[in-house]
Amino acid sequence: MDSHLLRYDNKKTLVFIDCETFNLCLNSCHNLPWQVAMIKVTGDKIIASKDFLIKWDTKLKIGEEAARITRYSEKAMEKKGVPPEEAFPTIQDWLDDADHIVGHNILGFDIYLIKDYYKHMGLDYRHLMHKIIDTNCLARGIKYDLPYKQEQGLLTYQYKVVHQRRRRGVKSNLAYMGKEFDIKHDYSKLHNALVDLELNVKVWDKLKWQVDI
Amino acid sequence: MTYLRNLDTLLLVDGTIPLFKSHYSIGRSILTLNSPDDVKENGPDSVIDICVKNDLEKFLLVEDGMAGFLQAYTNAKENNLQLIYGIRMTVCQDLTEKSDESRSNSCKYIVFAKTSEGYSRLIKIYSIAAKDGFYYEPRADFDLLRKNWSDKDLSLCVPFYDSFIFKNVLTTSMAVPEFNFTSPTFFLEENDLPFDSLIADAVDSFASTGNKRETVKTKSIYYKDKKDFKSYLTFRCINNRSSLERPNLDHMCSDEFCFESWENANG
Repeated sequence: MDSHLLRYDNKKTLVFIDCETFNLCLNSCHNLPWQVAMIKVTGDKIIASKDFLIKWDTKLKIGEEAARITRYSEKAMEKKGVPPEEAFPTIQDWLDDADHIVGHNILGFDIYLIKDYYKHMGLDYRHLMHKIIDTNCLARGIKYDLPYKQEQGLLTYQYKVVHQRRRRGVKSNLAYMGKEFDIKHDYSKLHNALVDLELNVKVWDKLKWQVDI
Repeated sequence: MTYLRNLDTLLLVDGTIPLFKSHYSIGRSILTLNSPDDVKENGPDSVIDICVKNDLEKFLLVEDGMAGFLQAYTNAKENNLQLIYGIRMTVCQDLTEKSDESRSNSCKYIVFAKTSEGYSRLIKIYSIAAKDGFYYEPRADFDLLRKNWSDKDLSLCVPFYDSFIFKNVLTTSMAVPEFNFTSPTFFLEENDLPFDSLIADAVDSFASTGNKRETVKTKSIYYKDKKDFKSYLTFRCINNRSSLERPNLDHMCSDEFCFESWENANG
């Protein structure tokens, strides 16, 4: 009866994406993604992953605290960093071809960086919006007892959750959700985009049974 | 006073209507209402100066209160500009009810004055909203609007952001409109925000069902050029007691709320 639900669909491709950035500003005038990691999942299987360190031609510098939290390494950037133009075709291919784009707080943060990245490349990002699944929104929706009704549309529902006033004591960050779901993971390495994404995949595997998408 | 003519005439223009806001709407715009003579090279940009330099004969100024009116009127008149002044105000179900629920179910409307009589009516509405309806901010209700309404003198518009449609679609609040005293005009904007299309679809859907409503394309303008976004963001961060590194301002991502963007779209 529920065979139409995404949790039973083994053919759909989900691309999980996470960006590490210089700071928390939502516009490229003051912030850029220096790491973009993606994991491609079909059904329950991870079929590919990508991890780009992106070397922007910019005067922007990562702050000390942000560098510490996100484990930014100038040496790694010098060694492995690629220009944004080199990383973009793969990112675009993956996102444009995905049936769904998944991220934790992607609607509250990453989408703005992705938007400006597309803009930097002279492209429009808006076709991605209706594919987005924000696991932070889904988690908060469950915690706030806001059930998802399919007729309202997933993106609209997620924005309703985004705009819901935060309630004291209700946590839904990735590490917290992982621990709440008793997920085994190396939590000490979080804030590396790829490590975050691996946890994000596991959190999605739990959440998808609680929301009828 | 003859400075306010018919808003309806202005709304018939092709293209997108620029909606200016000045620094009199505290924390919302970095544009001033200074006369072009008072604009300094590295100083803040002025709505009046922008209009004069770009041959706009009339302009809509949408403020959060009445404070900027005198300077806008004086400098518009000196520069032969037609000012159409409106207040973007919070409208709730009952302005005497001061509760969290009442706040969450309130939304924004814009009331434009079209005539001198409209100006008097607008002042009366805003004064009561600020005195009797004040709860965190001035609030009107539909009773207040209805009692002071005259289609000849005032025009009701539904802004693109924070309207009842925005609230009902993108939040869990439920704002109920009452349009039994006038027929509002619905504004449509495109500012490259990720949810713009969701609101636009909802506005189109609402406006095209039942009593068909007029929709017009508008552009809210808070700074002159795209490059000024960083200054605008800095200003917003200062007002928010936050920083550029952590602005803590929801959806503050678009550099499209500027005159340059309007100009690009309208040649």
